[in-house]
Amino acid sequence: MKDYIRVCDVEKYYGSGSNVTKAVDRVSFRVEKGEFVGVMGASGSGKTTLLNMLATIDRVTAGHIFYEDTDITELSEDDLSNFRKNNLGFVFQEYNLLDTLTIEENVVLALTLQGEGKKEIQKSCSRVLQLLGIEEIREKFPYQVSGGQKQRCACARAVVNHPKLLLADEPTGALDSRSAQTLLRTFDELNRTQGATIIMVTHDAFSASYCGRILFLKDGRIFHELVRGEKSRKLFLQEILDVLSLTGGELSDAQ
Amino acid sequence: MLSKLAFRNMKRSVRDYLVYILTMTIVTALMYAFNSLLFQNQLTGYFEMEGLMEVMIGLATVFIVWIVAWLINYMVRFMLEKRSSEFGIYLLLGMRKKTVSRLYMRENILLGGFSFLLGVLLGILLQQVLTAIMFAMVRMAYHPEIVLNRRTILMTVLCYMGCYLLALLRCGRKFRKMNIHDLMDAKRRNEEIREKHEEIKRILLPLSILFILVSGYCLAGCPMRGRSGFF
Repeated sequence: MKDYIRVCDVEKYYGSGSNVTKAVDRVSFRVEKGEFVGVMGASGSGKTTLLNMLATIDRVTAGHIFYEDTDITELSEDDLSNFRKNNLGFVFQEYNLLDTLTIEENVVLALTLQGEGKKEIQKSCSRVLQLLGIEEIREKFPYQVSGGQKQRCACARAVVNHPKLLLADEPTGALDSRSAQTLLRTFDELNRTQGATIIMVTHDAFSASYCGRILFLKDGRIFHELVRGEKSRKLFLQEILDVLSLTGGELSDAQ
Repeated sequence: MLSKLAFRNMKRSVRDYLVYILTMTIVTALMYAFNSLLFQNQLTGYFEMEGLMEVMIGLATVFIVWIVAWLINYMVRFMLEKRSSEFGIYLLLGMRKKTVSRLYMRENILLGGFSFLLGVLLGILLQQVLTAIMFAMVRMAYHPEIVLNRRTILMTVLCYMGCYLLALLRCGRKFRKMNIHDLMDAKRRNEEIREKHEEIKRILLPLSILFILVSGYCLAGCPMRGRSGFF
């Protein structure tokens, strides 16, 4: 099977001269279509930097990232914005909704940029709002709804134009456990029924247990990989916790 | 949709930056009033020195234009910084940088036009007051009349537009240099305050206070001509 997303020897350095920090250090991995991949690691392990580079928010220092046949590290700025528009969806910890627009308009804006007709926009907007269960609040402004609803709206905006890849950066970080669970179930459902490919960055083992595969980052390098396979979520969670305690143990040794 | 977005954003900006709009309105009013004096024909010839008044008013106008230029520049930049994370979202959604900067420009034109209109209305009133003072100085009876001088409006518009264009161009350049990451991060960063010429500033403050005191003393000391003629 042809690889969907290919990350080849990606590096990201901050600083210059003798004062260089390697945020991401020669990371390579592949993601297949319809996968739900989690990226875990302690803070400062470079997971957000990695996601930002996948999201075309940040440029790589070295290496290549291929989406099918497109190498996004070689695209110009205008091509990148086109690429983002057509291929990527984002969900961030701090929602990133536009407060001047209602929930519905936030979703519509993403569709308008695609240049679709009014009828289609209305149709796909309603479909997505229904899918994520935020139909009743479509007329409300972001500051009038709860955090979980905001995040679901961000999610709706991200998936409304069928992106090739949904990127989530600590999506449950600002949510209470109930809303977090709802959101993760939504991700799971999008992944199963709509075939959405998802990459999620998280430091929370519970969130990660919803993924199909988890990459563990440490000091900018991948040091472990877990595949869920046919295991139950509980068993998978236990495995994740085991791996985490391994890294945690090392940390306490260092101290 | 983009016009709607620009309009909504403008409306919110009005709420958030009311102080700026008020300042802009007042400054426009001042600019308009002084410009109108510049094209006021009735008074020339009444002053002792021919052309002295024109020079004074011209100086005042230059000074005001200078302030306006600085103010607009500061405001446009300040708003850009405050809202950069929002622009980051636009870019994330796949808007092109050109579209985003055009959106911002459209908002600013709406905002600027709004405060300009308000300012001209206020300026017409201020012009009456100023002209009345001028007439009183030469002890002439002044009957208030509202005259819309085409040249005055044209000049005010030109000054105002020039300042705005300059500010927007500078911002556009700054915007082009930033990438999404910078934009989304910019809100967390503080405004940099650069302190230059510390020494000179320390001397300038007492000097200016002294200057004000001396000039105040001089003004109070010599009896002003036509003081009774005020109002």
